[in-house]
Amino acid sequence: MSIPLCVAGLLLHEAGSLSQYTIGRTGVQYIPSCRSAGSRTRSTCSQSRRTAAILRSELSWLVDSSIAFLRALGNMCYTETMTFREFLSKMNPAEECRKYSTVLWQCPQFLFLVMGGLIIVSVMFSFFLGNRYIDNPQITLLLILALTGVLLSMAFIITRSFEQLAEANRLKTEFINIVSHQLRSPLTNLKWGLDFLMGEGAARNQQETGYFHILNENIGRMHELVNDLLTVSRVEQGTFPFQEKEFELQDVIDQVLLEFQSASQASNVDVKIEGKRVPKLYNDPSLVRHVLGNLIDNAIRYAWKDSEATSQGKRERNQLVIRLSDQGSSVRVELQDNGVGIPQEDQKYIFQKFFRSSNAVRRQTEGSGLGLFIVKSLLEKVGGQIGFKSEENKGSTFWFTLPYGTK
Amino acid sequence: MKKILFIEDEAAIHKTFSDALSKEDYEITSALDGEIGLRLAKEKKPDLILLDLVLPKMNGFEVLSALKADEATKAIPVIVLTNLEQMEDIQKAIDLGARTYLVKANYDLAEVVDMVKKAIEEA
Repeated sequence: MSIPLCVAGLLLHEAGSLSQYTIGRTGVQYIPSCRSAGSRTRSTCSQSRRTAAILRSELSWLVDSSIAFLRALGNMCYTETMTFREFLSKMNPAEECRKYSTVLWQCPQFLFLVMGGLIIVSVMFSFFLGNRYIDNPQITLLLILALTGVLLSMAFIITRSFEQLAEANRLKTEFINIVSHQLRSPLTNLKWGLDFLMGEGAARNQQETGYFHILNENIGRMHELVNDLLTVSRVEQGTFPFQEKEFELQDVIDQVLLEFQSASQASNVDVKIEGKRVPKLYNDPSLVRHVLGNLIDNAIRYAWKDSEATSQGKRERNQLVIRLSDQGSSVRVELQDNGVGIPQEDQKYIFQKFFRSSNAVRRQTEGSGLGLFIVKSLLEKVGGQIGFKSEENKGSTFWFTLPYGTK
Repeated sequence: MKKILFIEDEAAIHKTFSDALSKEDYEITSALDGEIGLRLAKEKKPDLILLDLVLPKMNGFEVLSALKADEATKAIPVIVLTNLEQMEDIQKAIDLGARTYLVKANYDLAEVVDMVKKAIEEA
């Protein structure tokens, strides 16, 4: 999204500067011809000079505001590191438009190419004409007006296409919200009905019990997915209920580890905590629980299974080390595992919504691909950060920071 | 015999719930919408009311405030049992006088049954 905007800003800026240069030249060259003109033409001449002056100031406004626009976009344009190849692939309208599944003329990438082309052509055309009809400021004026018209209508088209995209995005979030709410009621009915059937005192044979367990597990998965979808839509709509209070990070870690105790034992993962006690945090403890739970869950899911052999032959036991460190205004939590790691080609996508690593699919690990996306969005909302380094077959280290916060 | 009034528009939940509590010595009355629920609360004077918030005709918040406004039903403890979990809804229900607020999806049947038993013993 930011790339087309940055490109638009740059184009606008270029167009403005070029026109400014043109009108500048016209004005400058016009001055001596005014002096040498006869008394009859002198008044028309000075009139034209005034017009040129107005135009100049208008254009410098355009250039200034495009610079301001670019500056405002600055963060977005320059912090987003992107290789040239990625930039080119973004500029490939056919592919990108297919991704958005919009009509060609509504697709932003296509619009930007057309617009860019049109702006370049119209600016060159006016520059050429401006040079040629240098003696006639009225024509320059007309040209500038025409150019402004083209730019304005282009701006209108872009705004509209972005509006449509933004609206589609909003509708999607709303849709997810409604659907997940509606899904919850029948899911609860199913879950409670099954709870009752599986409850104490009911005599069943082994086969039935097996099926009941399958049902229960699948209802649990659906329930988790619906909860994740709801969280996503809340984070995106900005209605996620953050509840800040003072708490000890260590306590939350202990709670989460207790929750995952049976899972980590079942997968043979040794968990240990390193690092000293850090000061109390003032933040949302349930958010921290969510983040930690998710990362620990991943570490357990992607631990080596006993049946899996490695190329080195015998391998070490599965380990998960949680390290805490004080970083002045924030705390840094690191979770290092020696699990299967993330394939290099998947690494840049892992925080994307619904992305699932190829080894997740291979290992038949269940999940929606929402976990890390939610974790990242939540952390960013409270001023935290998250990152990782990972090597396939060696393990991953995820870290996140969380500001201590003030009451 | 202690009386429970369950105001909830999903018949499936009514059935599961009364089956789960059938071993206990409770009289369970079901109401499928807010209006009937409010009327039954006044007629039966239950010892405990379980209340959903999304209900036809009269929503749970309206039922709750009507219950708390009436001297006859004011003292009956109300457990809100719903799938709404926005902070505003929870706060609103508590402010209106709900004793407990339970998000259905977050609990097992057994947990809810336990909570209901506990609440009714205290009532």
